[in-house]
Amino acid sequence: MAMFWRLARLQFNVTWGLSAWKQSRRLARYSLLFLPLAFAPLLGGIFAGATWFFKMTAGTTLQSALLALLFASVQLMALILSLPEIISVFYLNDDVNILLPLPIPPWQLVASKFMIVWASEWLIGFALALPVMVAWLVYGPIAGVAQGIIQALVLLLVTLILPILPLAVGSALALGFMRVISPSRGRFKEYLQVAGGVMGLFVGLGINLATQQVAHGDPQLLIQQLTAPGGVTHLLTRLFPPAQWAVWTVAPVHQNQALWGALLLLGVSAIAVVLVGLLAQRWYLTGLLGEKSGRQAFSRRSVAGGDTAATTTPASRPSASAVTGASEISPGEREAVRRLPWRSQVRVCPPWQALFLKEWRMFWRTPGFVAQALLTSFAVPAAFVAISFASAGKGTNQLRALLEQGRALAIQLPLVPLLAAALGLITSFNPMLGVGFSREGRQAWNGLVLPVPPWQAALAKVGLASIVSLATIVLYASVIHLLLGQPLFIYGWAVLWALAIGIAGYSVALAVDYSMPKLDWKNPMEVAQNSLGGLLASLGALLPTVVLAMLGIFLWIRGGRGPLFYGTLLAATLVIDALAGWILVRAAARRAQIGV
Amino acid sequence: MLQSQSISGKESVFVNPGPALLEVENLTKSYDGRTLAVDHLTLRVPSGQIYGFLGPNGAGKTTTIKAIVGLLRPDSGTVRIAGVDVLQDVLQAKRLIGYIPDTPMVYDRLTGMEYLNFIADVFGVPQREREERLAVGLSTFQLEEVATKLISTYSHGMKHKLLIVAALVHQPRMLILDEPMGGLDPRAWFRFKQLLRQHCDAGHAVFLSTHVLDIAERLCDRLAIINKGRLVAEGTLDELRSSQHEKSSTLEQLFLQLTDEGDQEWEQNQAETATASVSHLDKH
Ligand SMILES: Nc1ncnc2c1ncn2[C@@H]1O[C@H](COP(=O)(O)OP(=O)(O)OP(=O)(O)O)[C@@H](O)[C@H]1O
Ligand SMILES: [Mg+2]
Repeated sequence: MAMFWRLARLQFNVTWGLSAWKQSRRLARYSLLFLPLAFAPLLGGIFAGATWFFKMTAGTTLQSALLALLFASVQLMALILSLPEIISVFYLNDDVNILLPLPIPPWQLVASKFMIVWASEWLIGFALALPVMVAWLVYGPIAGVAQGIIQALVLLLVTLILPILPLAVGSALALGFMRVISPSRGRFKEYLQVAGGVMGLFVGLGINLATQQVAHGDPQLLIQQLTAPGGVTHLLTRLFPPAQWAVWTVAPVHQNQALWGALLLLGVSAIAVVLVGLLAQRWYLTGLLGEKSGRQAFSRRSVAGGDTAATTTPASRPSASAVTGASEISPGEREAVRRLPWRSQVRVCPPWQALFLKEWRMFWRTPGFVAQALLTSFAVPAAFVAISFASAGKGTNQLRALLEQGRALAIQLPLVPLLAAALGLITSFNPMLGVGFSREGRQAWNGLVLPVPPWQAALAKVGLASIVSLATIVLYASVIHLLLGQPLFIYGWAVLWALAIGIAGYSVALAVDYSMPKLDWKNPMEVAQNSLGGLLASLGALLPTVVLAMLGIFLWIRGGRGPLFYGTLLAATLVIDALAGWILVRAAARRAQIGV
Repeated sequence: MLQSQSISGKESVFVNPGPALLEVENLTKSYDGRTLAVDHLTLRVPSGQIYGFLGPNGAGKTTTIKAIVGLLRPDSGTVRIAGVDVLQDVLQAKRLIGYIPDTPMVYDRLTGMEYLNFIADVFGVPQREREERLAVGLSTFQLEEVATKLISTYSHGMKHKLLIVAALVHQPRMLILDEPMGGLDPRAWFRFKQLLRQHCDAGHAVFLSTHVLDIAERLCDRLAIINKGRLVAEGTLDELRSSQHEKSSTLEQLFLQLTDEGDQEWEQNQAETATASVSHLDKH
């Protein structure tokens, strides 16, 4: 057991970089404290909503319906979000190479890795659930401070236990999946993560469709079902019994219910964990190492591969001295050079183009990035369209009415800037494009020792981001055009404007990334997942949109209309672009000077 | 202990040192304001020479090299490549440098050819020269077969070879290598040594760090030994020997003496016991 705890501690240390954090400078250490601040508006919003709800529904069973909803979403989130993380932590982390040769039983390895996923999942879920729980403690049916403290403790324990079951399910899925696939190495693993992400999306999509089915595609009926006493509780009990047990534990109708709820919650979670341990003991190593080698016949080609090289006999080979320019190579040797297999691939292009090509290739050959780009660019609009079509047959009237309303409203509003802001926001959410420097990881030195002005290197990255984001913007604009109608030229302008906003966003994000890069990763997903810089970069990407939107709203409220309104917003966009570009160039130059 | 000044007087002894291609002056670099990794280091590498940079683990070799190639900003001091100040005119200085780090982390999502083309494009190497140099480089290191494959499929040594070919594609005035023997097989190392010599004969220079004293002894024209960030000896092997008044001593003995940290006695004892036990074995 002592061994196991040491293992678990090691996992936390490695995954969260605790030792590095402890050794970091004081300022850097406490900068983490600003993280909650970034989410303060979101959490405050949830708190306000929950408070309003609990006050409205004082003394009714609806209060526990919201709790059920909360617990169910924590579990659902754990199930969906954690799948890629589980695969990554269990199978793809570098520490596997260190741990595997050690005499540790597989179940212990998996258990210690399970704990790290559990802890991070709990942190996220708890952070989001906290405002609701505080509102519940303050405005719920709890009397007195003593009872309140006990309730708070119970709530804390429940949130701790809640993610276990979905994570166990996710782990079992991952263990089974990897056992079947039992990949050998390399890029294939990244496709698995992609598959995990896509799976998450489709689970979400499925649930969306399912809820529509439940409500017969009628929004009003759905709302009724959600708000009617018993309705939502009934639904959630059937879909997520553990959420129901949690509700019993926290808000029991009678004393026994609390006990039963707690027992069920704990018992089922414990059984699930034990089952995962058993599965791990049998499947983990197979999934990691593969069953046996040599599934493919050893190809003749690769055995005899050296021959092609050997056809160029040593005599006809150019002499080594030509490398240093000590002597020119003979015409015969030049002929030999022409015939070499790689010769056709020697192509000269200007440095700026070479830089862009490099970015382009590295991007498209990293499945993790491509998947993220495709997910935001194609899958999500596709899902929108699918849902609209799926529901078109059923709640047609309501939907159509809603759309009609939307169209009527659209005519009264400044559609171009609104669309531009919306589209800009959507592209800014594509975080991988914002962390273009970290993307180079430990290979970053390659670019830094080259005689390239830093702004050119940065421009290549922003250029790539712009091209990918243009695809995203156009797709979303098309979908919105399908839904809202309106003349095409409106969308044309909005797309251009959104691109300008997007470029500013990427420039800010890239500047942040240049300033606080994470270069010691191997697995591309880690860039977005595990670094403070990556997080701040994603937030930075949103900044231009937010600033412009706020300016627009301000102008609109002050009665701004017509050319002045549009002129001011356009000018502001240009100023923000220029400013963002300047910040980026500064950051890139600083990085190139100081180095890594 | 030997100071760098004591040798500088003997510099004129050396036959015809070319103009300095690399000048490091009073280079100082500390990490986190605490660890003094390089301490007022002064070096001068003339053209046409292979210059060996020796020192124990953590002596500051990699730090010095990173400061030379522009990957680290020094706290103080200057670095000049063929007269170009690295801090003043970074781009111009970088154009003169070819650098191979101690661990070959290359853009592994590119193919070998794509990587080589990228490097050559950035340095503006024209088509004809590019073809010729790549032909020589790729055949020398037997990379022709794999050149069109993704670098992620290369072995450690193959990546290293690719980096060598890339570093030579623009014929840098100053070739800078951090522990260049890592991962190279004997044939590749043999050819690489030839290349280095030819590179110097063409009027360029090579600066390499190493632990392998054999390499330093046979390959390098001039040596610098640093310990804890400070230069403790500099000169040709003969100069080092004569400065220690031990004409017959090997470089290994010199190295152990110069980088001694007070445990010289221990080493001597070890050596004595070793000889004793060997002679003991011999008797049986
Ligand atoms: N990134 C870093 N942060 C803090 N200290 C560092 C860092 N890199 C190196 N050091 C310290 O600087 C000193 C010199 O390190 P350097 O890597 O230059 O040594 P080296 O001579 O190349 O050693 P080796 O022969 O092991 O490669 C060491 O004391 C090391 O601990
Ligand atoms: Mg080193």
